[in-house]
Amino acid sequence: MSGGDLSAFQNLTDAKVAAYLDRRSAELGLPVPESCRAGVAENLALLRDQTTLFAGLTDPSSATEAFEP
Amino acid sequence: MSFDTVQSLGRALREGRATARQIAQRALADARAEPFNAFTAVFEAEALRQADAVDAAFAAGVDLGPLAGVPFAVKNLFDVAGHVTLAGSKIRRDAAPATADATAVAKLKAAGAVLVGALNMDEFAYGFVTENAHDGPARNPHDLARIAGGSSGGSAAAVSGGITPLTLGSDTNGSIRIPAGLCGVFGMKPTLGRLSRAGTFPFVHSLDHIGPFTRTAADLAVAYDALQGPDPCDELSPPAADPLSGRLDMLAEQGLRVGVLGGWFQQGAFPEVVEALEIVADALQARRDVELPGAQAARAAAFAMSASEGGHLHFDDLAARALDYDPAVRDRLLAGALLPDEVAQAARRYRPVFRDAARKLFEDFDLLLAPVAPCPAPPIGQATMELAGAQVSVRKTLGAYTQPISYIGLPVIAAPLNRPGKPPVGVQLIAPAWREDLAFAAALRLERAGVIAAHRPPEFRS
Repeated sequence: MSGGDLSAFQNLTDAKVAAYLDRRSAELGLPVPESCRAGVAENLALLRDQTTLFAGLTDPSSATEAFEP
Repeated sequence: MSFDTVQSLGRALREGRATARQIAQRALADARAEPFNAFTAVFEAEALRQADAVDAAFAAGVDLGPLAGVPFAVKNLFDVAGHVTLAGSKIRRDAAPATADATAVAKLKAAGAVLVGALNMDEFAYGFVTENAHDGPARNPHDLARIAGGSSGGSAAAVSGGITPLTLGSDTNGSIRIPAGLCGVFGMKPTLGRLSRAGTFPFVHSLDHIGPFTRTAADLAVAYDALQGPDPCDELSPPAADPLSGRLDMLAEQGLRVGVLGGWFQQGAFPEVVEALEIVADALQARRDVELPGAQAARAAAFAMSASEGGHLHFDDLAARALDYDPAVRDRLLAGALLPDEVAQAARRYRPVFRDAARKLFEDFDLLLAPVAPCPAPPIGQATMELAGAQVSVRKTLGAYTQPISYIGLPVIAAPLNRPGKPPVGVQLIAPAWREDLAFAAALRLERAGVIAAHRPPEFRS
């Protein structure tokens, strides 16, 4: 799974979050210190859960407009 | 602690009962000795120089206006010339000092206000608690064992604790409104793009706002007026000033169609929070249980955008020295940096959808009400809280009701319910985009009716 796969990210199981963390960290060249791994994985799982609440509500092919309040 | 207001200090100065130097000296002494851990720096020499300049102007017959001689302080993410802009971090302690004041600081100084110090905050503004690993927790003046809220916790505590009558903070997801509510003072988050953010350290560029904290709604209007106006240094191009403080009486009498947001905006709210909302709703004859569809999704999108944009902003420092970050912030930023880019893109795509839902609602209402936070201030160190039957992170959850609103950039005044002797509870007065006047209309009416008020903390009552 590439880092850019939105549906694959949403479908990550808890057991696979750590593997995603390692793969994405290597892709980006962003090392995650060992002491941070559990906290980062927990946050990734939370972000996955949050993403499922809005990601399906818009058309991915639509352009993103410059936002005006 | 003086607990003066901007207006009472202005009168004292004009009537010759105090000089700007005397007022500044008192604020400086209070800032050095305060028990709230609100201040991270005190600018004594500069403050006294500014105060002397104000006194000299008065002596020469020049009236600088309502902020002349009024001490103020700023969240330490505002640039102050000659000082390092810490943004609550350890990493920036080695940065070069700012070469110029942030636009907002410069505007207040130009109006004669006297900058006395910089204020505690969550590291890089990422949090709702101001339990800063480097500077220690900001303490709630109403109960020193409880949090001041965040991320502008020092800004709220300084006003609530009576050190300065005016401070500045920033609000990306609730960081003005939440500490204002938990500390029992007024806080304002304007429309996105209304007030210049130039010279502030960013968190989430597409969601960042700045705004003032005060002890009264009228003071808030004075500060808001001084902060307005175009600024070529902010790419959001703040519009021409639309001053309000000359028409407060008219605003206070204005008729308002008010709705109380239900659904997501009350889910899990503590009983005293619901009670506060009901009291304000009764006073404004508001219609109950108004639904703003998509609020939970909007909150989630703001949550993800913040992690992603914040993570990208800090990518290089995270790669080089992650362990120098506050652990609670670091793990969130690292996770955000690791997100697929499509998460932030989806979060941005949903923004106009939710904005249009709010616009539709504002066809029927001039103002919407919602709680600031689900609960009064939790104890310092409390990691989790119960919300709607689930154990959730305090640090990540206090913004549940504020995040959907800042996601679409609406103007809000966080107003403290008048409940002396009890833990402060705040209510969001939410107006349509660019209609700050309607939020002020409600705040002024409620304040004059005695429904909302900032109180001295119990320890400081005379």
